[in-house]
Amino acid sequence: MDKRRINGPEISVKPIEKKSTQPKNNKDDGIRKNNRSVDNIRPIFIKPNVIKKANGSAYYEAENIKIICGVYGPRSSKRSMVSDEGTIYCEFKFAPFSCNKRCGYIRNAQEREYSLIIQQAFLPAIRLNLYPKSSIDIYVTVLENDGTTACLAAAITCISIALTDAGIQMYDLVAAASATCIKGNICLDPDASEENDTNSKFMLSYMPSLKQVTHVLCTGKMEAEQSIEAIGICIDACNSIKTVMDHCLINSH
Amino acid sequence: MAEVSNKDSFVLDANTFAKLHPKEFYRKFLTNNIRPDGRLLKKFRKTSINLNSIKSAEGSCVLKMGKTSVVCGIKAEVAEPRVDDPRKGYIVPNVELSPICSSLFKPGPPGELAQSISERIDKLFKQCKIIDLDKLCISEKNAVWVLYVDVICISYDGNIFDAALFSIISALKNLKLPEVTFIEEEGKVEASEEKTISLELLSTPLSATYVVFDKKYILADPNEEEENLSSTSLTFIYNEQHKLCGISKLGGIPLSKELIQDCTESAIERTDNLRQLLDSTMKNL
Repeated sequence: MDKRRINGPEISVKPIEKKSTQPKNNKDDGIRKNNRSVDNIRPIFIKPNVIKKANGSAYYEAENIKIICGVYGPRSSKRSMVSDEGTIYCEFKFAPFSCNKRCGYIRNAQEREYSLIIQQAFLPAIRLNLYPKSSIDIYVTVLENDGTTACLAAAITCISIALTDAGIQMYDLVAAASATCIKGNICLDPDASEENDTNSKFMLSYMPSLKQVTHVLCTGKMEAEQSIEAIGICIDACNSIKTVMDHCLINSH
Repeated sequence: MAEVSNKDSFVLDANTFAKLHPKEFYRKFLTNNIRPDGRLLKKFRKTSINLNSIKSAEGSCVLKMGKTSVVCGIKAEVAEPRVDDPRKGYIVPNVELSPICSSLFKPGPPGELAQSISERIDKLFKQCKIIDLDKLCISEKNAVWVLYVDVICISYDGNIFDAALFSIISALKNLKLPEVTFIEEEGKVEASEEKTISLELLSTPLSATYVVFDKKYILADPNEEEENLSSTSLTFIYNEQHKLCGISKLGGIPLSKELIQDCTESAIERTDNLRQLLDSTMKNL
């Protein structure tokens, strides 16, 4: 019970959806239900500078994934410890209405984990030695979620643009791509229904110009060879995402 | 404006002057009946809405009012009704001013502004009968709808109350609930896949906010800077029959009756304009 918010009943649930009796007229020969090819990523739209009061910001949309990100900083760090390097603070949040089931305002364990992953993905990319005693605060809100891993990858791509918009010096842009394993095939950019059907998740963030990987996340059942294969496929995807990011930055100025 | 004191030949450019003496900077504009952002005193910012763009919510509205943007999403869930009101559903409005929208807001629990706005909107729902809560009943004593109305501010530039209220009303008008049946033996609620049922609003109260600067200038739809410089804010809430549903003057300096009356006409016009905007946007869906 949160006294500082308006509270509803203690327990509420989503009504159970009736299983549709109609046979699905999906062709079974395709690997993916949504008829995308395995190496297809959803078309991406990014727009920088959407929040007036933020130092940098960006809005990201890829079909049903909608993410907004604001960067504040470099500003003086609130921690009393003196450091000769800047720090990154990240807060990743799903909006209450973004998921299938309503999520509360207090960050849950998954959101905290994702915040940490984002911090780690950007640590090698930002020139933190240029920002002593200061902190760079990154706030990400997912307005609509269609595939949690894909959202995390999208958030990282979106933050890159927002950091650039804030004029924070980086070694390179960070692009991220997600994948899953369906029937032994590596499928890029899985949506929510594909994510529910499989139990393997793969996410890679990559600096395309430097050709360096900043973060890899692989959970669930996946063969070792498949993981290696996924790294290669995701790197290719990151390279194509980079062209979208480049376009977005060039057109915004 | 650029020169403050000729004797010392000390020259300030306009931006520095605005930072050092913000009130004086505003006065110079307001004596000429214009505001620094180019608006007339009673002019509201350009407002636009986008309906049902978020598919995961049962109803949603993205609103832009100048540089203030909010997203309102409604999630519908099922819960047991209160024992004393077995037919009444719940509406749970919350406004979140997260640190993403401005550096004014800190991470963690909601601040005073967010709490007070949520509370004012909750009161409006309870007292003004916007929705007949009996219509949210699925099965008496067993199951009712809970509408979680969440407003997330994504860019803050003043006048958040007007933005929040308009986005909530717009989202509610576009709410689509699935058809549901209560299965008594199992005590569960089954919903159809398609969402078709919309909810009738008994009234559509909308608000118009003004601030008073220097006890005599009334500025409509203040941005963040104007909010900070003024001591008093005045909010009028009118329904579609031009009846007053609420008026609030939060603290500040005492005002004359005439000054308050002065705003009412403009407030009626503004709320009517918003209603027209909502109707025309819904027609184009």
